[in-house]
Amino acid sequence: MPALLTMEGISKAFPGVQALSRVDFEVMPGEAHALIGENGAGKSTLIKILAGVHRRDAGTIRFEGEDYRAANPHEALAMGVAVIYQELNLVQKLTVAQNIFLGHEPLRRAGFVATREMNARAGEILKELGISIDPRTPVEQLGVAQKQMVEIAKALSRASRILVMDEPTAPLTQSEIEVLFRVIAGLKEQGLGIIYISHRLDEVFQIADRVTVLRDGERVHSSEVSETRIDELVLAMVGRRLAEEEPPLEVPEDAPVVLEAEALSDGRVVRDISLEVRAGEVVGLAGLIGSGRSEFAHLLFGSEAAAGGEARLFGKTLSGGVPQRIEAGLGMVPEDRKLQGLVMQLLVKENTTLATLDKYTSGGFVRRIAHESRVREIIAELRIATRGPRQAVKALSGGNQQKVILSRWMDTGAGALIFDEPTRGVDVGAKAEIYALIRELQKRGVAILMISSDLPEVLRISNRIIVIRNGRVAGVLSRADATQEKVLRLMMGAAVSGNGA
Amino acid sequence: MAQEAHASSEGAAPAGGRAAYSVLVRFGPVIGLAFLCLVLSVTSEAFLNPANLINVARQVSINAIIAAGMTFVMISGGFDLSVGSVMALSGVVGIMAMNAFGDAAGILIMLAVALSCGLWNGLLVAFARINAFVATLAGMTIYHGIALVVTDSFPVTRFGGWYRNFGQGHLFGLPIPIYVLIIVYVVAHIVLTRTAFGTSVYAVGGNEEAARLSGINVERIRTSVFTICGFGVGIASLLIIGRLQSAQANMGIQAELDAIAAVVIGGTSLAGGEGRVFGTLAGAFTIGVLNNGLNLHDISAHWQLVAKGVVIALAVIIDRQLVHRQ
Repeated sequence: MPALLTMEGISKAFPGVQALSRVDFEVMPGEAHALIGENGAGKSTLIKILAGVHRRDAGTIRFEGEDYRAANPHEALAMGVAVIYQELNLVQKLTVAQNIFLGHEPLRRAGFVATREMNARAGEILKELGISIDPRTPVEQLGVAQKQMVEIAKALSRASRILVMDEPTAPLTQSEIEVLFRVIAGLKEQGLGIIYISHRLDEVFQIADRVTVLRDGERVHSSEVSETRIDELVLAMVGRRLAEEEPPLEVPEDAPVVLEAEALSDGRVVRDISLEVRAGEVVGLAGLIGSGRSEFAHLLFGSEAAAGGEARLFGKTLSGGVPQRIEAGLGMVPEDRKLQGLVMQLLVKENTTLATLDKYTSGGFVRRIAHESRVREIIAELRIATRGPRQAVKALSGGNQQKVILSRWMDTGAGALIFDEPTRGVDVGAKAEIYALIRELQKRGVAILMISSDLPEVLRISNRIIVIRNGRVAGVLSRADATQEKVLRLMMGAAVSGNGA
Repeated sequence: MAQEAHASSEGAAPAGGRAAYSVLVRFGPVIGLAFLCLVLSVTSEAFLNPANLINVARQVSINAIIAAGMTFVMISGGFDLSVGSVMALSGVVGIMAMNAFGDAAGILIMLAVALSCGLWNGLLVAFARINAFVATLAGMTIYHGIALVVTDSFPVTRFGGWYRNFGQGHLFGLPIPIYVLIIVYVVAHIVLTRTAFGTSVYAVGGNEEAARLSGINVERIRTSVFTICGFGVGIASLLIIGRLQSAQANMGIQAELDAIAAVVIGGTSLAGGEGRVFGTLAGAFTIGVLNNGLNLHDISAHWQLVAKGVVIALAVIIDRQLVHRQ
């Protein structure tokens, strides 16, 4: 049987990061092909290329045997590729039928919408899906699961051949998921190709025929689901490289506790997390996405308000928001460099000192010479590859951008630092340099809490590993005890050993 | 721009081409203005006459001063629709206060009124988290309404008094408003480019979340830019009432449109995070010179509106193209 869709050697670079390099991906008619990987692995870039949102730098796509080039989402849809994004694209105030036929309404001769025919056809499509929704219902009255069905019906009304679903089950309850899976099975029987993106590995085993894992923009695994074990997938997602480099620095017995959390919770995701980080210690915080890792970091840093518990730095209770905590000696390198870290319109020098602007002013004025010479020092110290303090920060590579954010906290002289995914989306060389910087900070006695999805990284850098599951501490492993398997087991609960299907 | 050695890791466009584009983006508004002046100096004998040019500068100064404050607001990612009403309210209050308490006290009161209006806008946007469009739209009608209430919709006048010098006075042969204009722009430029506050304004407009996580007090910055904008409007209002020796509740109508137009023509991004006050100055002069040129060619004021709209659209389109290519 010829493949429905064949993507070969797809590459895509954005300024500062190689989002995809030479990725192959294929979907057969009647097949559900799961696409998995951590955030930033390149899944959505691949899908957006297919959907005509991004243009590929290299590679070929063949769809139903023809060369496929969608210049925009509209063309992709017309050719038969429908994408259902997580944030559903429905017009709330319109009815189900109006949404299903939006942009290709059946018309009467005079050009008016043939409402009755439209409702009838919408009803048929929904019936085929086995869903009982009145096509005349306004979409805003539907629940999330029903809205998703409307999206699927919308795709079918366009005679789509490929349906891409991005994390479709995230907002659904168990029984709604079962309905969705029944519908997907039906679509497969009709010969549609399904691309199924998910973080939930158990679902992959329930619904998919094949599975492909992306990591750092590369395809690292692809196999038939029936021949795959769940822990293979986890390993492929988080990386397999062994921690062979220098062992982390020992923390002296008498090193004082610098950063403490006591029963910190946000009333939603994070529930009673307590931990301590000592001077010169790196504590790795491991956990699956959604376990509450990043939320916990924001509670510590004061960028989200805590519902209970307290955080302490150098024995003093941290109160107030971010400015007060920075003042107290805390710093954070946030998870998303572009959304939370950098001001892309500004230059290297301003981004470097965004947290310390006041240090370089007197009487309100920036002392330019002192400012720039300090920034030059920082650039040299962190070996940031840039033309100088006045280069635009957006022209830097991902690793160097990350160093710019890190440099802010070198400049505040922070006593404790929170790293949220410090090496995501940076190349291997920059990774090694960031690790070296963490060692350097450690030598200076900085307490470091590092959140990472990259398990080998956690094992390599941390003195201690704390595993978070469902917003609670699932276990603490000393460096001597920790192995990939033990951490995984704690991350996933008991499910790690099973065969999955 | 300093171009130290060291090649950056990705060399997509040749450095020369990129530098040329960045110069074009940076000086685009000035180049556009220069081109317009060139055309007018060829087509009209009167244009380059010093008296005409001074007149244009004096007329432009009002809008340009408002637009300077608007630039702060727009770089921070907001905008202010209420400037026309603030101008009217502070103007009528200024005349009435000067009549009651004398020039000096009256001027202080009018500036305080304008500043308070801006502060109120800023508090609504920053702390009540009301969208800038809605908050300043509400301000626009409230301040206009108050101006109507205090004047009972009659014009208020004050003949005599040294305050008139702000509108009519001359120093070394040049009108005072031109000096005020220069001072406002130099101060605004220095504040935006040389102070920590200025950098924070860009940071808040460019990436609010990154600014917040770097410990910048985002609410304070937002409140400040609106307050600065209000204060600037107070200064502009003083120049107007000084010239007219009167004020009325309906003055300043559509002033917000001219000010926003100047900022946009000057290359400030509507999305925030980018912009320069001297771009705005070029934008304000572009509008002023265009009006003047059309006047000199006896083209009706109605067509001037159309021309202004076309220039705004063109400026934004060109800016988009250049930024995109870059």
